[in-house]
Amino acid sequence: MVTGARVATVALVAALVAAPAFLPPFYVYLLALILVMGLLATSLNLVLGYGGLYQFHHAVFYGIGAYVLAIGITRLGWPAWWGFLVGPVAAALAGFVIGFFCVRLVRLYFGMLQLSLGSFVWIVALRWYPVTGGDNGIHGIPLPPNLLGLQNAYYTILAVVGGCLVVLWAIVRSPFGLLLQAIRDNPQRCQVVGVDVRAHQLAAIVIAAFFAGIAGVLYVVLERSVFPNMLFWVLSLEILVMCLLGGWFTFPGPLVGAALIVTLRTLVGRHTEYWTLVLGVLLIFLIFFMPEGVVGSIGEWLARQRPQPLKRPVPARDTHG
Amino acid sequence: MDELLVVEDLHRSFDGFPAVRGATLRVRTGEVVAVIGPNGAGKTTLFHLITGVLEPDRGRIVFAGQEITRWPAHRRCRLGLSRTFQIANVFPRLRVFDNVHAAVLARQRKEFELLRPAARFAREEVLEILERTGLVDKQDHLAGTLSHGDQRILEIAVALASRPRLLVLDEPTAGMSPEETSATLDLLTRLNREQGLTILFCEHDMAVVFAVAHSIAVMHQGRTIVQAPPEEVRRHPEVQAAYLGTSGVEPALTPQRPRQARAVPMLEVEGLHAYYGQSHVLFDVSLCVHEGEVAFLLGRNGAGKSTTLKSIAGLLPPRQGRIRHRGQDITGLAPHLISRLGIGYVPDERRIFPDLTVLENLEIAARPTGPWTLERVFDLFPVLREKRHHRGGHLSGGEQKMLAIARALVSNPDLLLLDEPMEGLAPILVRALEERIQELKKTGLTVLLAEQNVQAALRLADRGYVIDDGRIRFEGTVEELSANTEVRRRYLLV
Repeated sequence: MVTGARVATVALVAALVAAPAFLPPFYVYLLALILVMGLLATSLNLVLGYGGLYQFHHAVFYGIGAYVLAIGITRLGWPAWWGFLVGPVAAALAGFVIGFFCVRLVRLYFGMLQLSLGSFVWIVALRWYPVTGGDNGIHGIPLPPNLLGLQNAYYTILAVVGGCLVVLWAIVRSPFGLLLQAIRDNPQRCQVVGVDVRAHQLAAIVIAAFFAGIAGVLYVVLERSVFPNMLFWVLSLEILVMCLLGGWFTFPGPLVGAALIVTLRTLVGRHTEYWTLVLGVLLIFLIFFMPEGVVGSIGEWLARQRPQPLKRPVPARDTHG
Repeated sequence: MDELLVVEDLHRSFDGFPAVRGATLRVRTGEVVAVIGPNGAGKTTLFHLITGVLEPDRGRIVFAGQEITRWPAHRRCRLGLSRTFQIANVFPRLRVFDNVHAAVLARQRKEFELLRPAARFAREEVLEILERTGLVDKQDHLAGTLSHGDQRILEIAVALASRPRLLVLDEPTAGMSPEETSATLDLLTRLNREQGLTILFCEHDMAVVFAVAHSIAVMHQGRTIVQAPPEEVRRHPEVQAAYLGTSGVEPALTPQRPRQARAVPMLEVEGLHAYYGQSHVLFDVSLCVHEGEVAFLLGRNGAGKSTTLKSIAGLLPPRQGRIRHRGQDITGLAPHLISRLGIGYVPDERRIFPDLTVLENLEIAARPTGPWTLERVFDLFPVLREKRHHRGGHLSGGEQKMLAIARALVSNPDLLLLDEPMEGLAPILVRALEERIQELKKTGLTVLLAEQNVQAALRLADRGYVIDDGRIRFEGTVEELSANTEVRRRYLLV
């Protein structure tokens, strides 16, 4: 199983590296978009699946990363590399400020406050015309020549997303990640074994916001534009669905979810504007037949194929309620 | 021996109900101290206050020379205060190994170690703790799949991983089989004798308490009445009155109703077996309540009284056995259907709707099919009429209890299941409630009354049952129970 996963990962990376040589540009663009959304969804899943926090408005940090880069380059005349650095840091900072208030609440209340504070940032992006370009956004952002062209953009995105996923995987397996999962399962028990639960959750939100910010600047690399929908709640809902669809108790789940949704939206969207109808049917199917998500359900199926008396996971009492 | 924990005059209220009002406790290094008292005496709240899960309204807690009264729980743990919970409280989606591992990592302050795999840290220590608690063979199981007893042991293992100076255990053997209980006792005795671990625990099983405690504190209605060595506690007159019960059972105050010539069975329970998840809690329970009588179901805490009532009300469908109401089989029916058949259930934890007013609470349940109208229950409980526009959550504990009974009555049941209506109430309320139940009895209502308060139950009831360890141990009339000292001493501690 472990070696199987390793072989699959290596094969996937090789395929992704070789892809531009075989695929038409449109599909290379699609892959790049999947990678960006996959990183965004994986960063959300750090707090959602591993942390058990209802981070309903995660796209805000994605938008902040992208906007800070765009504003820095077009309005403030920053060198591009400086913008690439400051974008994610600004997202992490916003994560700290929003998270600071949200970790004082639990469950849905956490989610609702997050949604309200995030919407506040969205309104600023939508209305502050001189700086953010308002509902037009900012387009044609000038980037260094070695990032221009689909080929260059694709490989930059592939390398950065790959690096980020390795770091996120390490975080999930670290003592920090184990305690984060323990908090998800039982915050009260964690407190009485000496974990400062709020500080831990806040740290997780800051880390997740940082990686969402990286996804944001990568989107600029791909599209060279930003627009207010990047921090609208609808996008937050979409990445939340990616996590659930792929399997939010697994690491690769959000990546699979991102691939499914981005592909579906692009391919079905070509034929009909009602692609969300297809998504809706898919979600209903998922809820009834694969409650653990695609990856989660495959994992369970694999576990059942093996002869060991490995017990199936019990549904956690509080996570489904 | 120096004092490790000093608790002085702690107070804590919930919505006007003082759960703890004047708790004082002393634990010396190396001691095993037990806290006993009836359910609702405030033991769990006291433990929550000591370990920082709740904050006290006033009072003082000093641990290892530091005042920790308002410290958050995680800081208290870092100072050496570790605990378990009454209901098994583990990390269900994590493996047994990771449950203990998380606690060890927290103690080693590795929580912000971000990039190196957790598996590199503290492996030996985790295995050593699992070895010591006998869980090493199950280290790869998910904690949520363990048996109830194993989950309780895992809780202790998690608590030990914090290397506590004081281990606080909330009913460590509740719900355990006799074998598991004795294994847990062995473990605790070894920890105390061999490693000098100081232990504070509360427990309803008197055999356990007297077997291991060096000192026993008795709580009653939120106060600690006394703390003394076991022999003294056993002889203490106030303790006998409050918890163990006064020596003789008083004769019933009111003359017994003449028993009906033809006893028509209202409720028949046959060979009932019930489980909470993995643990088997009711064993072959059979009982019968006749029309127009008040039947008692007596037993110590955890004996199976509430479970029996829950099974009858349909909240915990039995795995085996039959339940019949007026001859109709109701086994496995959904709770709302059972309620519509005329079985009113008053749960011990009241379960009123806190955000609705008293009136709204009653209107929801009202069914105009019988004699009980809103006016009539208000006549029965005048305080509810006065407070009919107050929100349920703002009533005192006793008033909530009355509301719960009133709510069951307005659905016009022909059988009322009352679960510990007296529990946790001030003596004056107990008397008031007794009078009300007497009145209900006169109206011809059939009642199954589960109680810990032996004397009150015997004053109200005609006949009934004694339950212990999930099994019916006695069936008979009030007089027969009064005469049977063996049953009373063994199962009721009176």
